[in-house]
Amino acid sequence: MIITKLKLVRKYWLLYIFISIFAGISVVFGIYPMISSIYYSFFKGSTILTSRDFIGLSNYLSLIHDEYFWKSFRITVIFTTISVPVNIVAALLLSALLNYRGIKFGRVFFKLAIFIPYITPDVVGAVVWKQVFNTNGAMNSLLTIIRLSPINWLTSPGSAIGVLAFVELWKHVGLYTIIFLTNYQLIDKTLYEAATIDGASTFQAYRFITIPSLRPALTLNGTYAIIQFLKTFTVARIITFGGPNYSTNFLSYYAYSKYERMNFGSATAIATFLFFFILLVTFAGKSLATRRER
Amino acid sequence: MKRKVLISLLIGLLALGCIFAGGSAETKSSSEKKVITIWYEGNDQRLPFFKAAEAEMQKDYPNYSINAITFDNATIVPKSLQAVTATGGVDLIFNEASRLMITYQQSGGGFEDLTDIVAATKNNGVITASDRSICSARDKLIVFPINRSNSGLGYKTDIIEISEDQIPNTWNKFVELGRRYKEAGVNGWTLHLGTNPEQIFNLILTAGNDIHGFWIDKTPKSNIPKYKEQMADIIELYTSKNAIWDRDAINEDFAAMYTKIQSSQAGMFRVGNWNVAGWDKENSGVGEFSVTTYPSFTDEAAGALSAGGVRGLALPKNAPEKEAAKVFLQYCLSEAAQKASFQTMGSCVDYGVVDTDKLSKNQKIFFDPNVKVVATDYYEGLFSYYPELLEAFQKSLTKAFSAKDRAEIISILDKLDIELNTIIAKNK
Repeated sequence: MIITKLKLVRKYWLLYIFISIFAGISVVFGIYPMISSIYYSFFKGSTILTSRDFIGLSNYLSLIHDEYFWKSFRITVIFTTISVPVNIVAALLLSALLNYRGIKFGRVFFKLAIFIPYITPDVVGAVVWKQVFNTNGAMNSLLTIIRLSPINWLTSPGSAIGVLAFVELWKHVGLYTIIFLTNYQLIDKTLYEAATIDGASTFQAYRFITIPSLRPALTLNGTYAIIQFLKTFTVARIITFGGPNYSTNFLSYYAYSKYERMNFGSATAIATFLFFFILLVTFAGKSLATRRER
Repeated sequence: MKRKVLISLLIGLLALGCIFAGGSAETKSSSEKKVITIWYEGNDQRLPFFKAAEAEMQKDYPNYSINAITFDNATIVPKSLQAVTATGGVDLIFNEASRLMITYQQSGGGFEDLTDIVAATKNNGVITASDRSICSARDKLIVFPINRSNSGLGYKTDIIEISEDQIPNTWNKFVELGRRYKEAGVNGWTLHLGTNPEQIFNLILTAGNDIHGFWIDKTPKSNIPKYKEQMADIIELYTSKNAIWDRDAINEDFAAMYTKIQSSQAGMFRVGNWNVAGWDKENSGVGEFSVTTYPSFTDEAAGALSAGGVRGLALPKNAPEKEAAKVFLQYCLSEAAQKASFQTMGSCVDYGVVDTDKLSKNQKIFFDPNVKVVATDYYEGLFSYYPELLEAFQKSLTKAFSAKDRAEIISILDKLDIELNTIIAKNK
């Protein structure tokens, strides 16, 4: 097996050279910093850059007693649990709409309109949405015009997280939609014809043909969405600074705020915890998906 | 034959000797050329100051020059820490003294004591005791002061009529004016709360009322019980039903706050000597405004401007060109350098270079010797665990600014008192 693989490497050595450039970049700017971060999490924060005082699991133990850490963890998990199905369902609906034969005129425009938020820089989108949802922003102006009371969109803990979920939905649903749409093209149309002949309704065709056929895309989008939302950072950094009252203080933002205070030990411990938690959830999801396929 | 070999050897040695001697001479003259690497926060507005100091230095040291590189605030602190503790490569670091203090603490004392350098610098009499206090860590002068960051209370004069006795230099007038601005459709007061929520207390308690150590003192111990009622009054500017504080401040940093001020969305705001000249210009977006002292709880004559900090230069112990850097520092208080600092950063330590006739309308108050200035307390240089104390303080304030009522604010402050004393006890 190994010999066969080595033979393949020898055969396609030029291709390996081309991809090894990207592998090298990943190692230098991705894997190495990650391993360093995990390593530093076992040292006293203030000594990481000097004499490096090894303190074992102390940074992790201090997190256990940190109420803000658990609050961050709770918020991150709840945010992900709600956002992932909302995004997937929205993407399924949008892709079904875009795939519908009745929509012929402007299909490219609608695809672009749904996908453009995804390629808009995160910070730019967040800054604009912050202005929209500010107390004197466009949203409250609209509510005033239609004779409704303004809402404290970003200054009330309950609504602030809802706004962030909305902004993330606007930002990411385009990618999931395009992936579903691409997989729609791969579905064998004769299956639908056979279903029609057998008297299946539109909903039955969707449930028993479309959804199973989209399973690979569902797994891909689901996995990507879980990772994406567990590491939510930009919207908290730009729009709410983790507030109000830590209601949007996601784990990644909490790690960043520790880093800003030069509390490197806690920052790396939180980041390491988040990394392994995402790994665990991803593997669990993958195992579940594999078992279902069998 | 042997003789020929010997003579050839001698000539060869002589020739080598000449080469080395010549080379050494070249090396010596080229080693006199020194390039001092300076890292500075902010933007290229700072560069003219460094260039002016360089020009003065080059009158006496023509072979010395500088290489000044700018970084944004978020990058320079960790970068400085890494350079000071490990990688080196920088001779001088320019930043707010408070940030340099944190770098000093975190690096285990990685900056040189500049006491002797300041003592040897001409014109060092312009450095005040307050400057030294801000720039010192345990009696070592760690930061060479270049300019001061002072601020005052700005209030718009083009939204509502404000008579002489309505100027917000007392607490009651401040609150009343805030209420009038709100009725006129703008925020009464704004100051960002998304980061550094403790700032407001430096302005009103320390500057306005000369209260020092309102949360911890130099012992250290917590003073929260003594000042919690005044702190609650200030927090209620945001939390109460009749709040005058901009509600969006909870999600803003200083950049967002400046956008708000420069689009005339706030009636009262903090004005710094670093931005007042720009804001006095017609197209600044701020509109017509005036500056006064921060409000006193009692007497309108008792308020003061806030000396929020000092910006200066620190010298890492591992600086490659340490001696040259020390030479450069001594030219930073020169007239040309201080003028450049005033022109580009709005401030300096030598007020003698300031042409008071050319000051803009609202700049005058910052250079008026009759206006009281009170320095913010600085503990960064005193306790290595100060960041832990500050974190606890900021977290509690964030909770307090989201409190439903005054009772909850007081409860949060009471818990903060316990937490601060616990941290102090743990670290003592």
